Amino acid sequence: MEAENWIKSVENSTHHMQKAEPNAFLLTRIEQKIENLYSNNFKKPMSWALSLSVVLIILANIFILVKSFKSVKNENNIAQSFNLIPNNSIY
Amino acid sequence: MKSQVPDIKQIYNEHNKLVYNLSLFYLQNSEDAEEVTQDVFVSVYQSIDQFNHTSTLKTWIYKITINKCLDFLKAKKTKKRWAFVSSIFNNGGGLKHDTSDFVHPGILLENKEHSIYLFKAIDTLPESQKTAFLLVNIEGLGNKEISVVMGKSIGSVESLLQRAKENLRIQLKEYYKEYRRK
Repeated sequence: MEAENWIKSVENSTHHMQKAEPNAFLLTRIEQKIENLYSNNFKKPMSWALSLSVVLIILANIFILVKSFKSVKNENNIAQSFNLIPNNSIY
Repeated sequence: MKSQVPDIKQIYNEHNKLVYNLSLFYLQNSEDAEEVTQDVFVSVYQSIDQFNHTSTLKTWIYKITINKCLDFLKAKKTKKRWAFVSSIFNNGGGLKHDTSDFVHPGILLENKEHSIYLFKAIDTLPESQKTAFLLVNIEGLGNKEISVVMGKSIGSVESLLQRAKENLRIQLKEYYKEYRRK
């Protein structure tokens, strides 16, 4: 009987309960989070674009270097086939 | 690109108590409830375009709140598991046992002690039963509204509530033994 009364009073302990108030600054924090979200959404594509540009520049440089190396090699081959000296030395 | 920019201030003013209090009952911690409340309203702002008006805005916000609370609890459980594992390997570190008893700030003073046991018992319920119980007993929703929020039939909701009440009673009987020993 005592147990039953105790359980009933526990079950009814939320009667006449008031709703709790959230922190007064919560709205400010929410607005800040939303603002950060949208500024990050702009920053991310920008940083990707920059990284991609750097990679493309490096690749372009490698391509040019390889091409110029090949053309020097070609010049040497052509000079050799005509028994010409490939460099500019006279001796 | 958003087709409509929601007035988050207005939505917040109309629903902040609902979200905060539901989170508080779920999470039983005011800091966690504040964090989840923020996440809910940011989510509402981000996904307002997806709100298709098949239910009321209030019902939609209930759904988001419940999902965020459940995600938060799952993440907390995972953290606890890792903390347990790391405590085994830490020198001189025992596992911290969380003994905080939640007291809702809105509970009447004479009911505070009893309410601690109630919230402890609610915390032991399975997710669906907890949700149904909180929505009907704390939020005061009807079974029909709960069925819309939870996406279940009214019959399922009634069954969940029945099982929640039974499980709570079983748990409270155990707590009564503890209470008697004090």
